Amino acid sequence: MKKHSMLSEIWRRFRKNHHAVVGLAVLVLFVLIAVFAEQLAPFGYDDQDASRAMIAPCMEYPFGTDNLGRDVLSRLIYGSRYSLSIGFLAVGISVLTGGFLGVIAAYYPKLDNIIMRCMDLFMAIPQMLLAMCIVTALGSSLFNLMLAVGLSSTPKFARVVRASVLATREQEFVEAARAIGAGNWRIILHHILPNSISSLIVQATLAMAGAIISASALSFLGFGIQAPMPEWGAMLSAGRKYIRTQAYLTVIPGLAIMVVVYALNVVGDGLRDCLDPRLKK
Amino acid sequence: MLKYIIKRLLWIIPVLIGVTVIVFTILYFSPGDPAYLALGDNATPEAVEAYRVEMGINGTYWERLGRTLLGLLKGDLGISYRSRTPVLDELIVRFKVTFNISAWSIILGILLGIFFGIISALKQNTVWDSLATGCALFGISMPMFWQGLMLILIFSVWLGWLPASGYGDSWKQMVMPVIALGVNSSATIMRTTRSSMLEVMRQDYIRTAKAKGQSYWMVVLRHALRNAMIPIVTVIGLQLGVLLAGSIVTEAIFSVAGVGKYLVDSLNARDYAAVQGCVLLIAFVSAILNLIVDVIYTYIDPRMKTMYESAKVFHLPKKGAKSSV
Repeated sequence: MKKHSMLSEIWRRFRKNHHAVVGLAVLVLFVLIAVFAEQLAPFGYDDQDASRAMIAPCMEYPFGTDNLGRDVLSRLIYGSRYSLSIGFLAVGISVLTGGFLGVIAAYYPKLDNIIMRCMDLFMAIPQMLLAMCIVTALGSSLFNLMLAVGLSSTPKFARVVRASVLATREQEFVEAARAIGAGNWRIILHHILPNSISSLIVQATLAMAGAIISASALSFLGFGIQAPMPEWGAMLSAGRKYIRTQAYLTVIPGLAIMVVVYALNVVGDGLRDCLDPRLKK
Repeated sequence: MLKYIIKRLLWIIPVLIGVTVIVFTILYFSPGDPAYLALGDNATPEAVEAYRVEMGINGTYWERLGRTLLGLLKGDLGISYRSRTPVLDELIVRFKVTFNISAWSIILGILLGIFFGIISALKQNTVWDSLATGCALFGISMPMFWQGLMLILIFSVWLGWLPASGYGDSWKQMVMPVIALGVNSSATIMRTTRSSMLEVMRQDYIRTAKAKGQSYWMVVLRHALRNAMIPIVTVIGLQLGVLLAGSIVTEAIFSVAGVGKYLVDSLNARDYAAVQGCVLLIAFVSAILNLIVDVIYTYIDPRMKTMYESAKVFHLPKKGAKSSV
């Protein structure tokens, strides 16, 4: 009962922000597109046909076709699977690893210095560089790309989680829980984490936007997903050769990335305003 | 203050050693043997061994790591596998290019960001405010590489005003890379300026300044902006790091021969000595920039000075933690 009322309270506050609601709708739409890609796409993502190469956007091919005669719309639809799954899973990886390290660092003062100094070392390397090195070491594939993007933002999450756990740890209810004999892990999982989760959710939403951009940038540079997979960054990179004649091949995939990232940013801002009013400045 | 700066400078040494260990370890486990890549698959074992000795990539993990670290302490970043020249020399030439572009970009970003941030905060909840914040949100959401390509499309393909690639022949070649990098940072700086200014403008001392009859712009620039500067400077510091990383993509798009392009080419050619050098250089530069930002704090807000002078290096407030992005 209580949980329901809290959720509806959050939703009531979220709903007031019209931009955020539109952003959420766009995200839901993209998730549906990704899930029903087979049904929605008029062609397969790798249906090559030289006879219909390089057709500019028209009625039959709303976004045109590329140099191998593949329908750009269909490739975009299938491509949404990559961008969304990279966004979700990469951030999932960094939340899990960063969250774990952050909780440990905040809860066990002896380990705090060691863990956070290591995180500082990783923070000294720009995220994009670290991701590039990791993906080179692991070899380029969808999973490795997610892993690289996720691991490279682990330190950021470790910091966020550590800060909020440190703040929560001093509260009375934690002391009360310890007084009735709860163990460390019970306190962490049942008392501290639920109370510091809101800043984590906000950070995760915004980080998802960043992860999608980094992953497509890596694919664009040739470190990520390889042809013929229809990842948006890779599509951009392939279309770039024809920018002088077939500009739509570069414009359209970039627009798709931008719309998704924009939606995530708006939703993230909206969530921050309603989940964590202190951060709203 | 001097003591604090020296402490921070010394702290950079272990950071660089740590970064070297991390990058070396990641690259050590990368597939592909640089020796066979350079000499071809049919190379004799003797030739491969000779090549490895020449490039300093023979021996076990620990031997190689030790050699790399010793070289680092002597200021030697190793030899590029491709060109067989010292990595450091290659980097110095390229860093000038990257530095030039990044410096102009951050200047552009700061000017645009602070200007529109102030306008947006002063005109809160008007059309101008929503226009500016909307544009900033777009600026953040636009992938930098796509923005670069769109600039090429508009200014070189359609209008024919600016050359699409290259560097050093004319100032025109700098315009698009600088815009591509700068606009992105200006969006972040603008958002921080806006929120920081909004907070400060509600303070009592602003009302006092207005009440004593000071001119409007004097109040805004001298009383409000100066007090709003701390988060703005923090974000500018973070943006400097983002810029250095962003230059990788931008340089690749505009074929500018800077550190970023060198890094991408080296990674593709498995020239790990060069990769390591690039990462180290970027980490070093960001560490120095962070230090400069921290010193600037004390000029903006003298209260910070006493804090630094008493604090130990380890217990300083971490800048990243209070980023309001």
